[in-house]
Amino acid sequence: MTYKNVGKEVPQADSWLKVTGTLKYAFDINFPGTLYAKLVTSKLPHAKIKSIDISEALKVKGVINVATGKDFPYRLGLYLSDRDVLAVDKVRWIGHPVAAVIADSLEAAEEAAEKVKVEYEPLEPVLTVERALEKDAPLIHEKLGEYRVFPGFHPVPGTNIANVFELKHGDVENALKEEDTIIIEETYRLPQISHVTMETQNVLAWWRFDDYVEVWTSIQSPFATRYLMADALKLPVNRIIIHAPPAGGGFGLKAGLGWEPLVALLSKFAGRKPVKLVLSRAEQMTSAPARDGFIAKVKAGFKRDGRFVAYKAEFYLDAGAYADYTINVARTAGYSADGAYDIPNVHVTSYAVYTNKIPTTAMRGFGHPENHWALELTLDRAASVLGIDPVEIRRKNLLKPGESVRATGERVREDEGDPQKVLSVLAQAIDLNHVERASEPWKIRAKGIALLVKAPSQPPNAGASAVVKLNEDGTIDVLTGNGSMGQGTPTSLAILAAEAFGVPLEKIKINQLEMVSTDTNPYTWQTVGSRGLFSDGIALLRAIEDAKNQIKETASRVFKVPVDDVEISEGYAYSKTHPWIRKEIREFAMGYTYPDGTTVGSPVIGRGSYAPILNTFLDANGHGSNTVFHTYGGTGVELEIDLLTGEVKVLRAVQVYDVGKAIDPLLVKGQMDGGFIMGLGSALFEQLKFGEDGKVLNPNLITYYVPHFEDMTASMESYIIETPQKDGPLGARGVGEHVMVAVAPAIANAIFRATGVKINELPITAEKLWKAIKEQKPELIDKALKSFFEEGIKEVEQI
Amino acid sequence: MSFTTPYFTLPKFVYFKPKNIEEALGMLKQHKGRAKVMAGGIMLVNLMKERQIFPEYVIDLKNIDELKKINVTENGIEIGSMVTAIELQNSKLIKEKCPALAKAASFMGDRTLQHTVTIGGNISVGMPSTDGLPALMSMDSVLEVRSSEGKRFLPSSELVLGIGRTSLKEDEIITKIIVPNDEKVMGTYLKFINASEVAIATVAVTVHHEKKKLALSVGAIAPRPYYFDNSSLQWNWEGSVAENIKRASDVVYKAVQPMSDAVASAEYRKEMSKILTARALKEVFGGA
Amino acid sequence: MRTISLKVNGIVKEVAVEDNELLLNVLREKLGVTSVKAACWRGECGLCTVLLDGIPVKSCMTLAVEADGKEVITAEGLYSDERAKKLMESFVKHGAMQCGFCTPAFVVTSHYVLSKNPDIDGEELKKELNGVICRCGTYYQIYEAVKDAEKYYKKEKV
Repeated sequence: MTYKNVGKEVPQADSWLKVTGTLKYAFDINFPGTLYAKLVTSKLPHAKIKSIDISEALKVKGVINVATGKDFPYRLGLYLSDRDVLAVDKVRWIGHPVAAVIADSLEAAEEAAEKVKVEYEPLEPVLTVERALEKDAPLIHEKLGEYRVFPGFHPVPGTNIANVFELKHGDVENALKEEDTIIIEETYRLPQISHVTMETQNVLAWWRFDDYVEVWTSIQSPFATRYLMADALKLPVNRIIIHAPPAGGGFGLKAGLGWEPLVALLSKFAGRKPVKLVLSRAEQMTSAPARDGFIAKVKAGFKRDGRFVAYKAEFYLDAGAYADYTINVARTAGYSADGAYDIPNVHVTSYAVYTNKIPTTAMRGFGHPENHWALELTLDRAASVLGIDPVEIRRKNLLKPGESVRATGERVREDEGDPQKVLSVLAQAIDLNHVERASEPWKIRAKGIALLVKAPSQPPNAGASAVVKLNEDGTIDVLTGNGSMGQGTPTSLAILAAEAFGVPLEKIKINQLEMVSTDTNPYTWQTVGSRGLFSDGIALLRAIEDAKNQIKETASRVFKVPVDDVEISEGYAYSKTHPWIRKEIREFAMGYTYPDGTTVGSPVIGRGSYAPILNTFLDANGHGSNTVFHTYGGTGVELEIDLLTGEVKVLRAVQVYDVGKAIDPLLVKGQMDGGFIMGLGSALFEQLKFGEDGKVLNPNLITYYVPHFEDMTASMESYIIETPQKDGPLGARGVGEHVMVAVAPAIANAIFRATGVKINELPITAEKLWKAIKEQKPELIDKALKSFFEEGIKEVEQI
Repeated sequence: MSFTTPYFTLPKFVYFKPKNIEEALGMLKQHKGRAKVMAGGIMLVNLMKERQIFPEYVIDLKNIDELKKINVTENGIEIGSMVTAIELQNSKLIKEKCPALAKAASFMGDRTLQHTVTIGGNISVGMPSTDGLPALMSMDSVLEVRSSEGKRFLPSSELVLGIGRTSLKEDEIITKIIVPNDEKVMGTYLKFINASEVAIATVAVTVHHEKKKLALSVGAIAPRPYYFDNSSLQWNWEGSVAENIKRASDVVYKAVQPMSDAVASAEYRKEMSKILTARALKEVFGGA
Repeated sequence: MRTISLKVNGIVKEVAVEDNELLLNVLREKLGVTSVKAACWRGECGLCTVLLDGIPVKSCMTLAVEADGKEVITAEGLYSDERAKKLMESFVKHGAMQCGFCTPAFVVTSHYVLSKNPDIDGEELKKELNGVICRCGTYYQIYEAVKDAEKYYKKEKV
């Protein structure tokens, strides 16, 4: 199949607005007379609120009102309604919003926020997963049993367990007991990390005088937010209008429900004036959610020949004070724990656990950076024990499309992608066994790889829909609900539309580049999980088919030929049997009008929709079918370790992904390269640090370090593989999140392979690695010091 | 400094932009205890955003041209306190005569901030990770400090008393940094950062080959930089460079008592002080 | 309250400000110039970078009164500069943006860098741009885009 638009390198359609800074984000939207909101947050990790005194705050000039939790007695949540709007009765983490000031200037709001006095009665804080699970641990959510829970989740009332998920496949205990099974047993950990979207969360809301609530917000989920807000506030769904301009980064932070209910209620509370809340970076990193902390206790069984026969794992996600979205991260980490491998015996238990720390939510990869950190490290540890090459051990155990069955009982589709090819391309590009000498005698050069597979994690009814309109001049307006946050999907959808309609790309206008509004755009569940191009793409292709049928219908009447004789191509409708009978499609846009004014047909508007109809919830053993497509990929790295300091410098990165069909290779490569950078940050730098009281110690971009320009690797190679997905839009599948998942495991595997030093917890900071080497392989440091002080300095003298 | 800024606005103050030093000093005297001096302003603005300080008056020195000059006088090289980090890096004179300072200037915040950051502001914030101070100490520089009462000269090593605390009085301004004007000066500045922009350790070295004089300062590991010279480092000008460097690194390692904080542990900082010392000395003597 | 005069993207504006107001807030809130963004509000991320009399400064760290009588240029103001427009075009062509929130700051900063030195060494370029954070990780593409645009600034010089 040759394409006119698909497969070409096309920049994002809104690029010129971005380079000039004139694209309007929610951050940039303001109305005259908008009031400012400022949060007052908890200074204690766990405490009863005895009293809140707002009298001094109200005296500040310009203050309109101050709201506290009692003013808004609503429970919020997507999967679990464990969140309050503002703290009610007690606070659950340092940073928990207790009150909100509304004022006519930011300055007044900030001044007044300092004057709200809260009196607390401290409760014992629960700051670790270990403590949270003890029988006598204080309860963080006493009323867990009363919260609304989405089907398929299992909170344990009377404990701090927000959800428990179990996956059982085969007989793990038996397989681990077999005499010739070699056991790898490890505990792995990941810290809480922050999404650090450059645009912080911000919301402008106006509770109108006609009781419609209008909200402009930086968000990935306008429709889910509208529904959840309506549900919580007991309003009809269409009384809430969510406007989602392009987001300045999402990465999962802006999925689900955010600050919209609070700001909407504040608007009502302030006499129905528009109110805006913008989070500062510090608020973003203390009062808003982060990615979960993670502990994996793993017992894996291998046969001498490298066969992976048993995988037993317990996952504990430190969900913090609210686990709303994280219960699904825990479930996802559980059901996809077997990764890209065919493991006959699997038993995984995955818990989301409450602690009195920053709440957590979805983040790019959604459970997969977590479970692949455990799985991909375990494979290299096994490879080392068994004396097998890391490539070979993976090759031996990879899922076989059309044959293998996942631990969930799902058969691996034949058109799911080509994991063997991913591995081969990766192995060839990185060439694991050819490692060059390091640049200095006190450094070690290393190479490592890791693979991954991921599917969108979504409810079985996560639908999408699309509308296309043909305009008078033959241009086409496309509407879907898929939002823009840098991932580029709207541009890819425009390319799909041009291809399917058979018109040049310039003729397509995709409306959500400026805004997705719930009252004008068609529905999609959320812009998450790398599902957009697939789900919204299929809906869009159906809408185009519908529009084309309308054109054909009219054309057949005008051409006086049967409908199935009409074809559309290159902007023309024509008769297949009498190709000289043809007219430009624009002539049918508003129906076809004869010279005498008679009109046949009517304006062309196509509609299409999609739902993953064969999906189900998972049963008590974690079995069922809850995925629509899987994307395989892998990362390879070449790096250098400075044994004197423990610093790791990645010199070369290789990314390989089977995307089915690259609708826009420029954007796919952008994702691969950018995802590598984000993965690099999580591997080497990023970690929210907590004080003894659970306070975030580094809510800033100085001591929470994200990758900077100078951290880019000298070489970055991204390889696209295209094994088409039969039901995907032109064969495509999603890749946006996947690209960061395998980076950290590849780096840790490289370090282990070159030094034998095990690092089971991220980030691999210089100090952490230096200490690990000192503990596990002190001779390496001794040798390095010797060469540094002797050989190194002799060289100096010779200069 | 907490690096934590929940606020978007600054507390109220009155802003002055005096045209000369005398005017600035007069304002400082008049509003003693209630005014803060603004050099580049980065630290000042951040401390106000953090609500750690609430000055009633802010006295901006950016209009005072005489503080922006680099002059050679009989006293040595005189660097105005309002000379920016970019200017330090671009100055031929500074590169030649004060190599450790030129290099340190390239680490004072990112390149954009370096247009704003000044040497006087950088050293008077009193943060352990301040880049300018170790460099100035390695050059045995002296600070000219003025108030409306007069001027005094303060060895750069005596400026910082503790974290965020300096020996400057409320009505005093650093006006100049005076560096000995020697020939054949070699020097460098190394900064070790990892997973944070706050340094784990820094080392400045300045070597006067003709004078057979060497001074080294280790910063970021403790509230005040450490200072070492020929004799404390047991440097033997006749001996082998390799042995000298090894010995000097050991001296530094044994002498320093670093702090532990969220950036690095004391143990690690101690080790890195040794490595960085050796690297700095290797760089200087390797190029000789 | 005092009235300051700012030339913003070519247009002289008189605006009443308090002494404690930041240039960023005056540009965005009072003058409606939203082509300057912000993401950390303390000089760490570089997204609020503007050219102040031709020099890049972080407007969240700059008092509005400091800018009195000066010229402020943001990304949209560079569109009328032929070289900068080519630089922007290079960003577009190389896909040197994802969410785009940091893009205006990168355009402003790299325009300054290339105006100063179109023959800039690669490592030096990375250092020059290190003060702006792109969380989407488009550094490779930005690097290529800026390198590719060097030629337009060289022409101007000749």
